[in-house]
Amino acid sequence: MKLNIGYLYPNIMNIYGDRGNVIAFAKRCEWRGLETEITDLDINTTIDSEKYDFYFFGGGQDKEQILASKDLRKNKANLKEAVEKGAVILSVCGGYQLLGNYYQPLKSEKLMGLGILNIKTLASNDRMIGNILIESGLINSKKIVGFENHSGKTYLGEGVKPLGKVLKGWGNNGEDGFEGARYKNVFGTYMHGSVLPKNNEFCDLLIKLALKRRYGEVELKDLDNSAEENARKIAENIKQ
Amino acid sequence: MRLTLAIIIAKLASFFVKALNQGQATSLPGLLARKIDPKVLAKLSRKLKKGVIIVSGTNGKTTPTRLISNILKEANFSFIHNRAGANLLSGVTSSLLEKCSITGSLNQDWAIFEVDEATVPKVAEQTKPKVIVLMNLFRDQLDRYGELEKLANLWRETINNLPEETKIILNADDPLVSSIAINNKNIYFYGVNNENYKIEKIAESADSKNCPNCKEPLVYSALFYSHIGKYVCPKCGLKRPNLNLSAEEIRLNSFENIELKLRQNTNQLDLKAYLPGFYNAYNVLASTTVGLNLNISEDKIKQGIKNTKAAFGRLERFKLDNHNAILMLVKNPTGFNEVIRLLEIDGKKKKIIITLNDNIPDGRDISWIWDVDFERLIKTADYIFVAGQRAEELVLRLKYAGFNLNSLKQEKDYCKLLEISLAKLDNDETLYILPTYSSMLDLRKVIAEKGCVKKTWA
Repeated sequence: MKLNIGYLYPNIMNIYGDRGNVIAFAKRCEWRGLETEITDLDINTTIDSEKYDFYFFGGGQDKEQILASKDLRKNKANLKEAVEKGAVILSVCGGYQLLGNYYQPLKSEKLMGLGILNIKTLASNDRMIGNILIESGLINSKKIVGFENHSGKTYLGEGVKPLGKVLKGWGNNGEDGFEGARYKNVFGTYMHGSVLPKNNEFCDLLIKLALKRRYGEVELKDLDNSAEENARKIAENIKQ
Repeated sequence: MRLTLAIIIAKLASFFVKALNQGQATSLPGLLARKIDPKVLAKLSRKLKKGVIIVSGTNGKTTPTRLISNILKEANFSFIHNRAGANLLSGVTSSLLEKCSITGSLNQDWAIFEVDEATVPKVAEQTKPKVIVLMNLFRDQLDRYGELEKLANLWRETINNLPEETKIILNADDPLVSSIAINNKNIYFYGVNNENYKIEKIAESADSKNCPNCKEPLVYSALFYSHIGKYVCPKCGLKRPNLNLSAEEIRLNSFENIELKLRQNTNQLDLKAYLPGFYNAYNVLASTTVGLNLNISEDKIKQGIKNTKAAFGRLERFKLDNHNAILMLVKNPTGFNEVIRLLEIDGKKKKIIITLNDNIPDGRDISWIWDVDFERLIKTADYIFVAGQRAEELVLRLKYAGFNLNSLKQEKDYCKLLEISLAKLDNDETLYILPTYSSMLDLRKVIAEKGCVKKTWA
């Protein structure tokens, strides 16, 4: 079995070690004998909506985010179609914001997003930085841990569920106590870390969903997760 | 009057900090004095006979500052410099307060300050430097600094506000730095022309692969590391500026030294620096540019550079029991990747200690280790020992890099860590130690105080 991974803008949207997510996804497939192929989807690429099972979309600095936002427009329909047909997307920070309806900077013009997630993000003067821990019903261990660093405040609209409840940290906006978003197989989060390596259950959930899209239900082989658990335990107990 | 009061309070604070054994008083005196007289730094820097030299950059503050100090020393200038790490406004101010008289007079010719990237505007505004050296901008602790672009903009504004006569020395090979140059200023560019050390691919950790002006991807005819190289923007035409001082030849002699042939117009300078690693060519270039601009003779520049030993934790060599050890501070992906490149220099497999902390000096966010090329490091490592507050994350990173965890040992007790790692070494084998900043301090403390291993200077 083989999964195709589309890595969105690896050259401009890869801040704070977000590529660790692609490494983790691919490795946890490899260790189970699943083949993966990673394709860089850089500026000026036309995305084949059928090809990719899993997309990763990381964060970037302000100017890069504007560049990505402009470039994404031509792929808007393709990506929407992919999502409706079950493609899995993990988006972090800037990538998360760009999957939403728009990002409103403090002074300049609105930055339009893809509208895949019914969310909006407003710039603020608060820098929301620190370790973050959330409770999420998505996985058995119930907890996802990472590090957030954003000033945009994200608000969820109808049809979108949060990823989880904030136990420690700021989350989407520091106001409503929720973090991240999910619509179909599209996930958005402010968690860097990288988030997938030490939240191995979350990573496996994404792998399962990606496999399901192409092959139907597939049982995942168990792996030795002791290194992941050790790293997660330390991260969970660290101060914000 | 205000100044005198500020000085007295600062000197008292310094006295008590030292008397009570609370450290070296590198920041508190400056902090207090600035509360009493906010212009204390401006007032004191005016008292220097020659003026202030500022050095800043993500990777390249401590070493170039030391090189410049040694060049000044050879030229018989007297100078003050701030201690490594005390590079915020209070640290810079403290270094002057320590040396001034009660009335605020100073006898020294120069003050040379290594300054935190984000603090450059404030220090420059107050001290009106005669020389400012800007080395590079890499991704480093963005949780503290904000984004690189914003730093570059701050630096551009700083340059714009500097007095006309200030000599501005910029790394031409870093597009983020060179593009802040402003036409009507005294700008001096340095860079590398030797293409022997170019790499093929832009590293994952490179921060600025796009044109700082128009964001088009830059085209590199030679890329040396991260985003440092010879570049041109195919869209707006931005390119690496012409070099005032260039390195035409560079020879890297293992962990020992580097030899360089520099060129300024038709003039050639042969230099040797006991600072291994390609990136040190940039430190030598920057400090030589400073020396030449201060009209210091070539012989004195050469000697000053030759006299410079690796700074605290930057390729420091010592003996632990009977083994050679080399300590190399790692603090961001670019620096770490350059250390990995250096480890490959003799082709030998190595035993390596890596320690990771997440205190403020290390960066609270440890995500950066996922940008480090551990996939490359594991080809050079035959055994890895890990420690530090976030050792578990390092183990995880190494696991996902494909390292065999049977050749890895985590030990958080530094004494035990050193014991087991030394026990693994062959007789003539060197131990390589790669700590983040605060874990380096912890490790040193253990070595110095507990005496679990015997340390001597190599």
